[in-house]
Amino acid sequence: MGYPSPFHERMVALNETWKYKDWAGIVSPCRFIENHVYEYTAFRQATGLLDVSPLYKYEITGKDAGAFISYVTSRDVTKMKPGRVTYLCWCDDHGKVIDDGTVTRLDEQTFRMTAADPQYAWLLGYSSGFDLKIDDISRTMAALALQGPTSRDVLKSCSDLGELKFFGSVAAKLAGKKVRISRTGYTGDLGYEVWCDWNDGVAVWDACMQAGKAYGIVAAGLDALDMARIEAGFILLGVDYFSALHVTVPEKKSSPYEIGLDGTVELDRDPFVGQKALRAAREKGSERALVGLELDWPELEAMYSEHDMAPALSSMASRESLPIYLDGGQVGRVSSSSWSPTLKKYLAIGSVRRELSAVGTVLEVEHTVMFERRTVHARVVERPFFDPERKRKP
Amino acid sequence: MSEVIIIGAGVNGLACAVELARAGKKVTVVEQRAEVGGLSAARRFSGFSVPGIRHDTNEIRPALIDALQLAAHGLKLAGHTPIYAAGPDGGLVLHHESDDAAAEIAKRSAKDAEAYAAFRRFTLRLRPVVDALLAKAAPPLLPNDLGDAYDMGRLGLKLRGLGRDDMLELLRVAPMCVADWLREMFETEILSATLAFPAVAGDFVGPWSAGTSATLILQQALAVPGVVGGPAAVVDALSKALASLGGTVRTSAKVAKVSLTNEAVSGVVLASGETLKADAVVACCAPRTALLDLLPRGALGLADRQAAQNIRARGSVAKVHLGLKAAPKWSGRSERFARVRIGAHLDDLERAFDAVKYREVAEKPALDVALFDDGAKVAVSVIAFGVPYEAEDRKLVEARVLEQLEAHAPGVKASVEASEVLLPRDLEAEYGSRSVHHVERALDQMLFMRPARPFARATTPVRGLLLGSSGCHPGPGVTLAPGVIAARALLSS
Amino acid sequence: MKTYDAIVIGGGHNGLTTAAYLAKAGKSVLLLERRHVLGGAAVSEEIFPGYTFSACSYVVSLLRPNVIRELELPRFGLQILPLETTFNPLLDGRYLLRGKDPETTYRSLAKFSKKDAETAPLFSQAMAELSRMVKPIIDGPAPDPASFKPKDLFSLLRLGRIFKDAGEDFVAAQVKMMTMSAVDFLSEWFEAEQLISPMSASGIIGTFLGVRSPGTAYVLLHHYMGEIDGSFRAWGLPKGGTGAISMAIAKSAQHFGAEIRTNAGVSKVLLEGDKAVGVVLENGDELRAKTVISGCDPRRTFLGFVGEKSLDGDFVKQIKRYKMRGSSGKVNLALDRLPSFKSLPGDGPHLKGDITFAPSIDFLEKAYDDAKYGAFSRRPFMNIVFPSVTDPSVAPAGKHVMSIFVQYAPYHLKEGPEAWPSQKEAFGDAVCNMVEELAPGFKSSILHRHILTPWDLEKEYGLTEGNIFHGELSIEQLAFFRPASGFARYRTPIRNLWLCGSGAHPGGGVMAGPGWLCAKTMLEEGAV
Ligand SMILES: Cc1cc2nc3c(=O)[nH]c(=O)nc-3n(C[C@H](O)[C@H](O)[C@H](O)COP(=O)(O)OP(=O)(O)OC[C@H]3O[C@@H](n4cnc5c(N)ncnc54)[C@H](O)[C@@H]3O)c2cc1C
Repeated sequence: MGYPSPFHERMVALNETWKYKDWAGIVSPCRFIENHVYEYTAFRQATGLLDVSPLYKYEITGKDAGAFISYVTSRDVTKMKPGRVTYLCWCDDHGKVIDDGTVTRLDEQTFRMTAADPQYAWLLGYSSGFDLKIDDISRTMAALALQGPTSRDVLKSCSDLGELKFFGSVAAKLAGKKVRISRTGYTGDLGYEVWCDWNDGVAVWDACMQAGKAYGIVAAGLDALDMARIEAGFILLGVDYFSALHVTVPEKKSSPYEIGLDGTVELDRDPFVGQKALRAAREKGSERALVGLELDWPELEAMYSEHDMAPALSSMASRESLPIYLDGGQVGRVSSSSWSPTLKKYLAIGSVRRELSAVGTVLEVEHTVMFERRTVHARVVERPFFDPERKRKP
Repeated sequence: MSEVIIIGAGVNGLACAVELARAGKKVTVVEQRAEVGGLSAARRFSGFSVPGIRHDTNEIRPALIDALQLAAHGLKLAGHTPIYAAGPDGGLVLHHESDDAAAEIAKRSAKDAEAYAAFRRFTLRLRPVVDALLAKAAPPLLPNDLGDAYDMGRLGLKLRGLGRDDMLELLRVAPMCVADWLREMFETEILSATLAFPAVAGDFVGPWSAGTSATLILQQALAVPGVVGGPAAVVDALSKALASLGGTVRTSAKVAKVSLTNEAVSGVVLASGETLKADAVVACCAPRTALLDLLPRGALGLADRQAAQNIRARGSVAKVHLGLKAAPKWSGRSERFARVRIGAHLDDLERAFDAVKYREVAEKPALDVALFDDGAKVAVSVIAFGVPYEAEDRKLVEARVLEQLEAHAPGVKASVEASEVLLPRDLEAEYGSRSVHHVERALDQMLFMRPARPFARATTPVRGLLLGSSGCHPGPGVTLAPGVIAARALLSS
Repeated sequence: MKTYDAIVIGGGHNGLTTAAYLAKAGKSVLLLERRHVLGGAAVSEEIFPGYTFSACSYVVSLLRPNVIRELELPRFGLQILPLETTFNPLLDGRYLLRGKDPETTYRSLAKFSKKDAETAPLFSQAMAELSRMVKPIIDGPAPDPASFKPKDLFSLLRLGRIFKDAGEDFVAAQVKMMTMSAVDFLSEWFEAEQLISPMSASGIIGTFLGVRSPGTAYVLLHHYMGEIDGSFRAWGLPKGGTGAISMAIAKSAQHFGAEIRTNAGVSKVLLEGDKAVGVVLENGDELRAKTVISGCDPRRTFLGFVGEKSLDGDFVKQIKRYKMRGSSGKVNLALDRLPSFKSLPGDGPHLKGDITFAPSIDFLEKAYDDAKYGAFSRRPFMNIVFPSVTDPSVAPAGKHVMSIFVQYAPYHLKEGPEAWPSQKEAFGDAVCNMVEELAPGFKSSILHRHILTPWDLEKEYGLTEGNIFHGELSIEQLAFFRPASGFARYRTPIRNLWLCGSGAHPGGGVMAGPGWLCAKTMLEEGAV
């Protein structure tokens, strides 16, 4: 049984497609109109409005809150300034990733943490001996993302938002409600996330929509998001990697180094969960690496034209796992792929043997044309695939 | 020369220190209390004295007395003390030696006299297996190397040596509840109840709890004559032995933290703030304390930490100490007894446990009583089974214990001159463990699972930290084995 | 007179299974059942006109999927309906509802503990992992740890391999499961008593133990074992009652050529020297066979059909001390309407599932204490289902049947088991009053009441001491000890006499394991 989002009434009223999916137990629109590329375009050209309330959220307060988060996650957050956000991951004792998310420092003793999976029990498990309190605010705090080049204008016209740096977070007033705005998002574009009380959700939504009219605001669903996040090169739990808590087969677990989260791991500091194993993993070097791939479009076209067809590729992002080959042997797998309407390229995120992860390496990805399994060449490229300057510009 | 710090000067801490000192290690034993001995230290109250919180020494390993040369420091073995099971019709006197025992039991039931002899023969045949088990660290779950395989093989041979019937019988009865097993053998209820007492008291079980037969087997196979002077005498001999080897003991020195450097033990910090350096630390205090309170954050992974948190050590006994003007007179008996048990029916023990389950003080606690008679006055040490950790009312516990004694020895109440009650919470506050066994005896907290799997075989995941209290294999009682096993594990590493 | 290849005594589902497998292998088989219906404790009976009851066992969980396949049971009418939810009403007016879907379960648990709500899926995952590795043990004959025979060594090795592959973690977890109490084991995972208590209750079903008694944890595994069989959900209701399983097996057996007779009680196994050669019926008829297989419990089989005099003293001792203390009873009701629970009024999916009333650990322990000292529980633990909600064929339109499994009802009352007939109605009242407390107005909906005490289970269904599993499922009575050491492989000390009922490995429950493995062993060893 799905649980209604704080914006449920508004979203249902707008949703012409009746396509929803379950995101962390919450009924979430896949798209509002059949052409989700329209919604995607808002992310890149105007503002897409997206409900991200289903994220799990925790508020951690107390004298030891900073020390605790630093102890359980991959980063030392005690150095963070209030009003800053950081992206990080957390691992089990064996250095295998459990989840990834953001941590915001509200003040000296208050932090907020987001997660894709429920982590309350896991956090509690480590909390003894720390002077703090963990509140699960997953279903009491709503979150609304405004992503796209005009999102700043929208917010400025409906709230008291001033200048806010990339990965900054401030308290603000919107529609007369107390909210928190952070300059973060999952689309890889200029964008903000508004955090407010669950019950204030509708008022906040209405104010944004009203203000957004002048800036081309569009309600967007998860299909559009999936496209945008692939262009941005972001990984997704349960698709591009699996939580060490939920898989029993060791090969399905990943160290941060195997899924491109190297940058989030601050190793040399006070002991933290998984530190020993992560040190060893870094020294040994991981066997696998996460890569961005660009499929050879002319080759794809040619494959289809053999059957007198135009390339029949779905406009939807795909989460199908596809083998990656080199010289006839399997060397990895693609976990997410999508057509990029902006770049006019077919993109993929995958995992390959580390020695094959250098930019420029050419591999082969399975592709089925007319019920026949074939392969198409794919080149390793830099991630993010799309990285506009406006994303981080002041 | 490498230095070792031993936390806790109970008999295991001291035995560990002696064994290490004998091997040339520089040892320092740190003890939070003002005197050494822990639960085995003599306890003085209002002019009376009993030789320890636990009053039994009949589990001591003679081989370890030799190895630690305790005889040279004055330790002498005593004879077995018969136990008087108070009950209707003059109760029953339980002698340890089969002939006397059989004669006494035969007064009640000839069949049981035979059955008892068979029971003792069976447990004695198990002794080599138990001895083999107790002399060394618990066998691993699965052999890791040739040495393990050899150890397991030897144990296997000992088991095979039992013969098929005994082995199957051992496998069959070990997981059973004592009530079922004893009633299979005996028709005299008071005999069953008296034998069952030590298999349940102190743990979170009653005679109807599965696995209590294993405890009984262990206890029976171990039993030897105790030592003269009780636990306090063992403490005394160990202290002397340690002093003669140049070991140091520091009392009134509470350890606040074990310190680590590069993930290995580097010493301890005392509550006073003083730091002591060491290459290794053997924690002979309760395992939960060592693992959860003394280790710094991050020393244990989540799974290991949870395993430590899951170690069960709930209390179920209180200690009541009495100073009597005169020796009690037992109804229907003219003799004086040094050991008495009260709880003539298995149901009496079960009901005592029922109360513990519901966090209440038993209406009629079951008692194990040791009497120390100096000719005139009598000091009495009572282990009262049926008092949960939640109990707070010392008066109530004392009253119920006295009620029980009075029922079997009228006049006792009137002869009480001094008394003292130690509830499980008092034991925790003063001796550091609410359970007199440090870790409950249960099938899943035995052998390679004692106190919990990551910490079995005396070692821990933290380099340089070992465990050697009765919370470790082979378990509680004044055996000296856990301390010595920890010492040997350290020496061989 | 015809000499059969095999005579099976008892038409319980295990006896029927053995008969079916032997017949399928081309043997001439005769099965004899004392009652007028087949099924034993897996039986459907129209006790009141229009109302069909699963008189004894009421849900299936572990019915071996290979038996379903190999005996083609669906072809002979077997259909298992899902029983997905578990509803736990509490005494304080709250409730727990699990199993409808992960989200509802999560939210229901989170009312009591968010931590537990998140831990529950991890627990299931760990249990499924454990049961995956334990499964081979119930799907093969019991190993013999003290034997040097190559075959036994091999099966021990096989076990050892399972353990070795899985590593020490698994062995340690296994030791814990086998020896801990359900409450202690669950407390290592969960904190909310409202969850621990009903979960732990599955550890006491059919045992003379309490949830705090060591040895009750391993039964929890059974719950997860069903999940991984893959053929159906862990718990199910056979359409037409549990008897439908027995009837499907019977039809399969007949299809393969077995002969089945009801109202044909056996009084003796016919012996010639130390060899079984047939049976004597209660009416005095003699029937001959090359092998005799008993689907009755070990006491009845050896002390009843064979007799002490024909057996070795040591074996008799083992059988006598084999523990079979019954501890459960059953109340079957015909209802005018469904009850409305105080904690979750009205109709709903919670009435379609299994309703476990185990509101607290102390409550369960107090119920157990009554039994320990020789009385039925004044406030009993109950496991309730309303089969008519999922399977309307068992009651007239609009009416319902209610099955209440009750603990504790000790066979050995203080006053002796013979006192049961005089306490039967009081027992039924205690149960109905307990339900009334949870669902006021319930009592006025009762149309008919049928009570089964352990005494009735013994007298009517042939379960010695009313033990529902043909012997307690305690560690010392499992695997190579079931029912006696040296005779855990379906063979008995009497040549050509075999045991195929729940008193043999892998034990009780409607799983057809002993029946299948007995036939398999006999066929492999060329015994028939
Ligand atoms: C009240 C109750 C509830 C239960 N609930 C469940 C449950 O929900 N789920 C579950 O899995 N299990 C349950 N069980 C257990 C399960 O029903 C039994 O373990 C299983 O049915 C036993 O099957 P069996 O074939 O081994 O033996 P039985 O079913 O006992 O079969 C033995 C047969 O032998 C017959 N017999 C006896 N004496 C003679 C004789 N002299 N001559 C010829 N025949 C004779 C009997 O009539 C009977 O038919 C329950 C049992 C009871 C009693």
